[in-house]
Amino acid sequence: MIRWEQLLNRSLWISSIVLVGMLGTILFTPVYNATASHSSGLHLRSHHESTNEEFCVWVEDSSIAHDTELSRVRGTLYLDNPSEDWDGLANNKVYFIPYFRPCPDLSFRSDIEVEYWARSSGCDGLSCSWKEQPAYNPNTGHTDYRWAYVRFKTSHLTSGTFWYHHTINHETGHVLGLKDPDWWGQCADSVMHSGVYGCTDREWPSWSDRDKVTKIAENLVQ
Amino acid sequence: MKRMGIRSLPWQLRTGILLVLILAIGVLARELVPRMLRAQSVHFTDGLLLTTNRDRLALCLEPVAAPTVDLEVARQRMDAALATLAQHPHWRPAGLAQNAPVVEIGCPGEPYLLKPGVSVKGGKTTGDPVAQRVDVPSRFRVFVYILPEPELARIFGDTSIRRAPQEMFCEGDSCAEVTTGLYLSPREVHDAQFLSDQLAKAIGLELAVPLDPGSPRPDGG
Repeated sequence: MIRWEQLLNRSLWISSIVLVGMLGTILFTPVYNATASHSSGLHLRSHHESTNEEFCVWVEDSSIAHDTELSRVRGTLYLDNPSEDWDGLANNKVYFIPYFRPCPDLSFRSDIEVEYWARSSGCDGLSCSWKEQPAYNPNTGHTDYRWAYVRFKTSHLTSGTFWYHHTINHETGHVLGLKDPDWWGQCADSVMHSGVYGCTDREWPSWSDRDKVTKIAENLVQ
Repeated sequence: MKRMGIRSLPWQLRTGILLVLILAIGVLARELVPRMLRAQSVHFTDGLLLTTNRDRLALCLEPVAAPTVDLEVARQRMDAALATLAQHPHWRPAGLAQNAPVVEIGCPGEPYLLKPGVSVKGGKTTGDPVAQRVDVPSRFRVFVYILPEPELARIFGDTSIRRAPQEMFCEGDSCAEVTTGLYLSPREVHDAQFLSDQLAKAIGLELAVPLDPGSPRPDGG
């Protein structure tokens, strides 16, 4: 037999063994955080209650005017597109209330559920979100959080209407319990599956995004 | 009888099969590699331990410029407080009952609220995921720092909140507090009711700040 044919035959056998091994691993390895889950499992206590999602904004480094950030956040959350935004989901369990002064100036700041910050560097060059004060919720049987924060990279708020709508909706999706794709290229019709993951950016949440947030609020999914 | 095998196939067909196998391996690798990475790494978990690398509630105790503190006595006070909290109705459903809690002297990190540039604003102790992010959360769920009372007054002012995020963990863009710093004075460590109440809030058995129903939307939107 010609030498390259021997190589071809060996490659076929090796590839077949590798493929069978991978199939077996996929079938018998327990899946953690199944890819079908859109939910991060991290959401606010107020999301389950009739308590409003009070929010404020804060510019950390003067990279954008306070009123500009406030206008864009408030507009995206409940003014610019009421038929497709997050506001009012689950019979108003998701309901945004703005406070107009900067967050650190509010004497009742600890009552505010969500803070939207802006910094030119963002979180190491990206916009990000995080949650604080975990507590067990006896009404739902799981842990949720009292406060959520978003830090925008300022340029994400100043690069045009589409981009600030997309960014604010994407980060608010995290606040409401949704997560990014599990890996690059895992794309779906979702404002959470963005160009950073090789997907097509959406300006507004999709129907499935809104449905998932509704289910989280109703404690129908973790 | 002539033996039939893969070698009997034309080389063009064998090459085509090989290409299909390689393509299939590539497709499966996209599913398998993230799955294996997820199986090996730390994740958020439901329940108040918060991450999968913790098998019990563990607290650490660290004096910060508080030389008069008897740490062994303080540790015993915390043990007693935890024994009381173990009767809390949320203790078991929150996943804290699987192993006995432990309190150890010495914490692996400095108090976040004492870092340069960090301060409590508007009565809210906020964190920063860029500064506080960890790849592997501490096995301690709560770092209890004992500070002199003047220092506590300087840090917290007149707020009653004594807890702040100490460590943050992220899965992708989803980040959250996974380790909490609790700041107490030597006197407060010896106040059983106060200590129990503050530990309950730091661990998450109770909300440190209750929900506020809020007001109607000011712009009518």
